[in-house]
Amino acid sequence: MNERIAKARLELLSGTISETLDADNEGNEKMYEYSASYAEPANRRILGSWKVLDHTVNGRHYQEEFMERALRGTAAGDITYEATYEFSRNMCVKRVLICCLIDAEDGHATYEYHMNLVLGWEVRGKTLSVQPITGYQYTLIDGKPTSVQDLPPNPEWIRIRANVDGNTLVLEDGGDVKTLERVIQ
Amino acid sequence: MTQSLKQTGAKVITIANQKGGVGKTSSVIQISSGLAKRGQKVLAIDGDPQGNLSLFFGTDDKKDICQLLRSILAGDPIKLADYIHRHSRRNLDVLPASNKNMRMELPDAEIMRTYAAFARFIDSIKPKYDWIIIDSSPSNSPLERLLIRASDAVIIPLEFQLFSVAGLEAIIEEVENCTKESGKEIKIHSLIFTKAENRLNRVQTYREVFSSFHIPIFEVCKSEYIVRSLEKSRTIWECGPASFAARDYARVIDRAFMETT
Repeated sequence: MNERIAKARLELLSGTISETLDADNEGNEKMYEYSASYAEPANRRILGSWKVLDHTVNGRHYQEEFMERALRGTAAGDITYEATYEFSRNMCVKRVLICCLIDAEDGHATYEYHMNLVLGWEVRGKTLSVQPITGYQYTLIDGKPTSVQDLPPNPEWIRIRANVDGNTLVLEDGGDVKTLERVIQ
Repeated sequence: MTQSLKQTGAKVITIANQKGGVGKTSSVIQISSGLAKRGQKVLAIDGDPQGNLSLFFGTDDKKDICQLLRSILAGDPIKLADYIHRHSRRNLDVLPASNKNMRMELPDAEIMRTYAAFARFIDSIKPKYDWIIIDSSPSNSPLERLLIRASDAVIIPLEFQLFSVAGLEAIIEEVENCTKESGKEIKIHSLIFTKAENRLNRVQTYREVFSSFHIPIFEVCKSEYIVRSLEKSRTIWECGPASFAARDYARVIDRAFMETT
């Protein structure tokens, strides 16, 4: 029997049952409680790769704020900002790349900032807790390394408000707000 | 608004479906022990001559429901202590069924003669308990009618299967007939889909169809913890309290039985 016929038979049978039960339960709300095994755990909803679409700090674009802080106004423009989060079981890899042109003696030079960070993570309700485990950051000017720094582990868990709605994830840490989009692979 | 059994004042609940293997006994075990664990005083009645509920709780040494019905028929005084196995679990007593030949030894006609007296007996022990939960056998006979007629409400476990839904139609009709015959309103309070498996497309179809019903419907997932629970005579609260199945039964208890707001 194909699925369509099976569904038609079920609907026919359940239609009669529904009429009888509904007549006896007038005024009752619909109440269908799925098994707890069906309720998708929050962790499962976050698993996978996410790309930052928008990132603001107190309303300002993160890359502008970063450039002002890191380069003290020497950025010349063409700023690009890419950040991804890859949530796998119990671990998240965060990658950040910021590129721009900066003023140099002979005109412009390309500046790149890279950060790779491994985080422990878990979700409880709408709170994403992350804990930096290991990582490093480095900068390049015209492709040549200018600084490298280890990022030390942090024993503290950082709690961030996380809202998942389908393929959109919003992370809020005070005034730091990131909107991420799931990367479909 | 959907009311819980507590809100409706129902106290005697039969778990019934004429279809076998849908999880009646298992549901009685987990619900009655779960209610007892919440501090409710519970009597579980084994109304199935197969005696699986009694086997689970190990109550073979007591007089059973068959002897109780005989005494009712004979008009003998009934000493409750002779029939009720006390403290199978804390707050949980059991009235067993240990006579597998009950259907042969107690003909249908005789069972039918005890309908009213058995209902009166159940009414008489109501004040001693917060809940009386009755297990029934998978058939449509005077014995099941006897149990349903003594109840305030019925909960129907079923599976995500067409035959099971067909069985649902039959039990609804049965409850209606009992209501008409006894003159007492016996409500079908809720349905419990047991052995829910999310990976099956069929289950999704049933969810779509049944989610429009105006009656509480619960799911209990298929779980190895339930199997283990029955094999080891340990309730789900004892052998897998954090399992999904335990959470599903806990929800049935909280929402269908205990909810007060």
